[in-house]
Amino acid sequence: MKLFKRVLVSVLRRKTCTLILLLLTFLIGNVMAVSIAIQQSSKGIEENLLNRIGGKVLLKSPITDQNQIYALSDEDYEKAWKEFIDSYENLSSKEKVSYADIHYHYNSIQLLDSEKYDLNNKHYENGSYLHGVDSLVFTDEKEELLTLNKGSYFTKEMLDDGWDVMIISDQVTRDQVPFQIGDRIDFSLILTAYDPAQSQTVSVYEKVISYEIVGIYQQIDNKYSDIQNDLELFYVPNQNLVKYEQFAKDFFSKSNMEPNRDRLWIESCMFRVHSLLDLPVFKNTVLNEIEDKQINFYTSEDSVEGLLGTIKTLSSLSENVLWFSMGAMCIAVALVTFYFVKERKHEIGIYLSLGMDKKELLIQIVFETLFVGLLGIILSIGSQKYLSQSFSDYLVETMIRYEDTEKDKFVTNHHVLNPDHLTHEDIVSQYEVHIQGQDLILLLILGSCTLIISCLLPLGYIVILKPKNIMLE
Amino acid sequence: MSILEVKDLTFSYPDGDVKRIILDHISESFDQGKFYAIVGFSGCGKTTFLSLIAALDKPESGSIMYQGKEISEIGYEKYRRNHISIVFQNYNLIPYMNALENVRVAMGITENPLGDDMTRLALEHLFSVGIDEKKAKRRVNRLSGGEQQRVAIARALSTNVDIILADEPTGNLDRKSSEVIVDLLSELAHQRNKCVIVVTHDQNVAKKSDKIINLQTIGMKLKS
Ligand SMILES: Nc1ncnc2c1ncn2[C@@H]1O[C@H](COP(=O)(O)OP(=O)(O)OP(=O)(O)O)[C@@H](O)[C@H]1O
Ligand SMILES: [Mg+2]
Repeated sequence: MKLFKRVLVSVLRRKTCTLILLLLTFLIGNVMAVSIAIQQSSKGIEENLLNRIGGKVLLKSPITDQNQIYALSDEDYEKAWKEFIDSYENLSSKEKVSYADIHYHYNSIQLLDSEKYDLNNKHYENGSYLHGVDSLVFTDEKEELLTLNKGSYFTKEMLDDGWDVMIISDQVTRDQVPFQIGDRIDFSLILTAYDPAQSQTVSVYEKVISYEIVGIYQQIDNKYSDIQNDLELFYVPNQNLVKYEQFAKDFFSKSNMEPNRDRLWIESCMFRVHSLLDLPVFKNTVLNEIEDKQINFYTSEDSVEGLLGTIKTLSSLSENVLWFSMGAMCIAVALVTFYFVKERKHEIGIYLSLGMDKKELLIQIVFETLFVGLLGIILSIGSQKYLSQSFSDYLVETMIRYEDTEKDKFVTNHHVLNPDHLTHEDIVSQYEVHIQGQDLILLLILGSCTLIISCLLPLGYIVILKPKNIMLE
Repeated sequence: MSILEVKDLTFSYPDGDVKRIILDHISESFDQGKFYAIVGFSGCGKTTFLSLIAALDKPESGSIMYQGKEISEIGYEKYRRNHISIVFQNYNLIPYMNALENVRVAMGITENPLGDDMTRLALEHLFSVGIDEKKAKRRVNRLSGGEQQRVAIARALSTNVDIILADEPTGNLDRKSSEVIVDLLSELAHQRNKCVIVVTHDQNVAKKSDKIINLQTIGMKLKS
């Protein structure tokens, strides 16, 4: 009777030992399989989200509050502005960058009460901010946030010379305002100054700017897009805003009034690299560029990180659980096999007195343990499927609920790309635990290693056994 | 030439701080086709002697030669699997296997050429010691003591070795079963040309042997 037959007979006839070992490896195998599945799925969801968001870097000025901007001295303001624009220009010309975008804002231009169209009545909150753009094709369109329905984009000439032209949302036309390409919308440039006599800010100059509509876009509901989640309704060329800011500066420099500092500002600029693989390199370029400047930056990885916090915690938790369960399996299997090998002392003595090579005996014990242990683990693969999905669903749900309530107490992270569009609900619905071929192989390899390690104790016992003491006592 | 030769065999157990010499310069030779009985009072070292010639332990000094070659040179494990078989007082069969499987295990370990149809051979050996096919397929712990010892003898036979060693093979058996076992062992020596060495207390066993070796008269010197 050769090795394999002996293994088989031993496993099939020594039922108690086999059943205990099978149960043990089945139970712990489930824990291992679940934790591997959770880890792999977390990795999967991260990749998935990253791919959808794409490789992006967002530069932000640390100064975001209007009042902070106005509080800067002219010198500091010029410096901060220049630093930001320089960085944008340096970085956007890098070859890794597929496209880049920067939006200017200037508060002094506001929607005017119009006689022809009652726009103010619609309370376009954002209408008071014109949304400056710099690109021939809107980055927002590339980001699949909007699509141009009618008309065309700004021409290079319009962008460079800052024409009074505008691309508007079809939401404006949907609100029963029948705008057509070529129509005009009036905005007013309102310059304010502080009047010490009245001790309040008063409007000192007003000028009507009539913007010609050259295009109408439609908003797309896209959760995986970038920064500009609150779509502005009115796009104008950046240079147009620069032009009017310059006008205001000139106005105040000629008068002796104390201007209320209405300043052109940038909230952020965005760079999209060709592929996610370019992101690490570009990230370094960005780091060098903004090294000693007052600029913050965020990448799509940060954004995914922020959103996946819970799932990542779960993943690292399950990694710990994996190691722990492997340790537990190791110890438990070692003790069980040791106990049963001791019970089989006589049998082992018989093999040895028959002249069996000790190595062959050791191999037999390892094979027996592997045979039953792997069977237990393979059985656990079948059941973990249901276990891990419901278990991790439960965990994700409770953890996210906990995190959300925690979050309410603090300021939400608004710095990440796509902070509002992609919600935790999206992630929960995407979170699908499944174990794949390679995970199964991983599980079997880890399981086999654990089982082999757990054989060391009984094997050590066999090595020091002397057949004479067992057989001729 | 003798198949097994023991020269100046010495062995002692540590007993507290002193050594207690159990076997002191024992020399003896064993031939094929002969049935030897090793006798002596209890504790004189019979089992110890058997364990040495069975290569289950190392002698302190002296030599044990199988066909003129030191057994330590052959290698203890190899010597055990190809040249000797041991029959124990408590049968020492693997309890969860049937008789046939117990014999087959031994046949799987030896390197001696045995033939092709191992199962048929094993059944023949079992049959020759009086175990029929029905009993051969029964778990050994459901066989009587005498039957189990027969299975052990069939196992010893099955590996086609020259030397069969037995330590009190009839110790656990009643008179009738003992006789059957002793007859079987003597038959192995006289009809199958084996060298059979049996340690025994049983006068009936000793009577049937070709040579009685009394350990206490040849070597036993109590030096404690
Ligand atoms: N492992 C051991 N350590 C120390 N002393 C031992 C050991 N094994 C046996 N002895 C002693 O060695 C002596 C010889 O033992 P052995 O078993 O060879 O005797 P025996 O002749 O077979 O006796 P019996 O007829 O009772 O079986 C005994 O006095 C015994 O107590
Ligand atoms: Mg004895």
